[in-house]
Amino acid sequence: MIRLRFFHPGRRVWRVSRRSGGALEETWVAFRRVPPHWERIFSSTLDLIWLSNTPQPGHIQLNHERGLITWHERRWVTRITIRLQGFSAAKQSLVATTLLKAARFHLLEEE
Amino acid sequence: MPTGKATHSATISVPPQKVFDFIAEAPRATSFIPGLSRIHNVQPATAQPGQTWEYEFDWFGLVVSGKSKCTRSESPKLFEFQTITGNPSTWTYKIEPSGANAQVTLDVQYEIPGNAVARFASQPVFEKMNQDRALEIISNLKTMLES
Repeated sequence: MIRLRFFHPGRRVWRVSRRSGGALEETWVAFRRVPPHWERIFSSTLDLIWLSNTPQPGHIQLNHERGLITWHERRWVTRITIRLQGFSAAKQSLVATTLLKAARFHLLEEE
Repeated sequence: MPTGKATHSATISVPPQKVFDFIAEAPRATSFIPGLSRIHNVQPATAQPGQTWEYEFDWFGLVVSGKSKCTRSESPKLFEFQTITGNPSTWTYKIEPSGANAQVTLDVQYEIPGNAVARFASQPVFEKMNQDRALEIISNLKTMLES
């Protein structure tokens, strides 16, 4: 059976800024009860799309100077910043969107 | 129910095996299919005919969720799956060598739901939207693999 919904509960991660030039920089805010395992979420997503990366507590470095993902936890909100560089603008945008989808939907799975 | 078909083809400057490997892992599709929000519950984990997964698709503001099943997986030439709940459709990726590169064709055959046609005024508009989606998918695949 197919299910239709007008509003998705995954819409608790919002893109609040986006700046593109040579690099793409985005800031997101995630509203959540408990901080999810961002390191695992982003690292596994990058692995899935064949982008090698080095996870560290609080940030992930894409290898070959391709970018950086950082997150800062507050009581109810996580502020996430991503910077992607060294790809075409189109690929930077696709990678950012893929990471945003992962952030939104991993939140659902971890609850 | 009327049926429609969307198809698009492009040369991607990587070997056919690389294209096949990228396409055949179902969860990766969220990186190149616009509006596809999530793939989960993939069983079994390895791509093979009979593999199933659940999907969520943001279709112009509506969240559509359902289940898909891999129907053909012939590395590195062909990968095909069907949506087995909701609106029936068959998605076929054909990958042919073109020198050292890959000629990739996506062919989507689908039934046209009457309520969706009513919402968007006419069947040709609906079909044009799906054709544009096929073009975008192949374009995104090329972007992800080449750059």
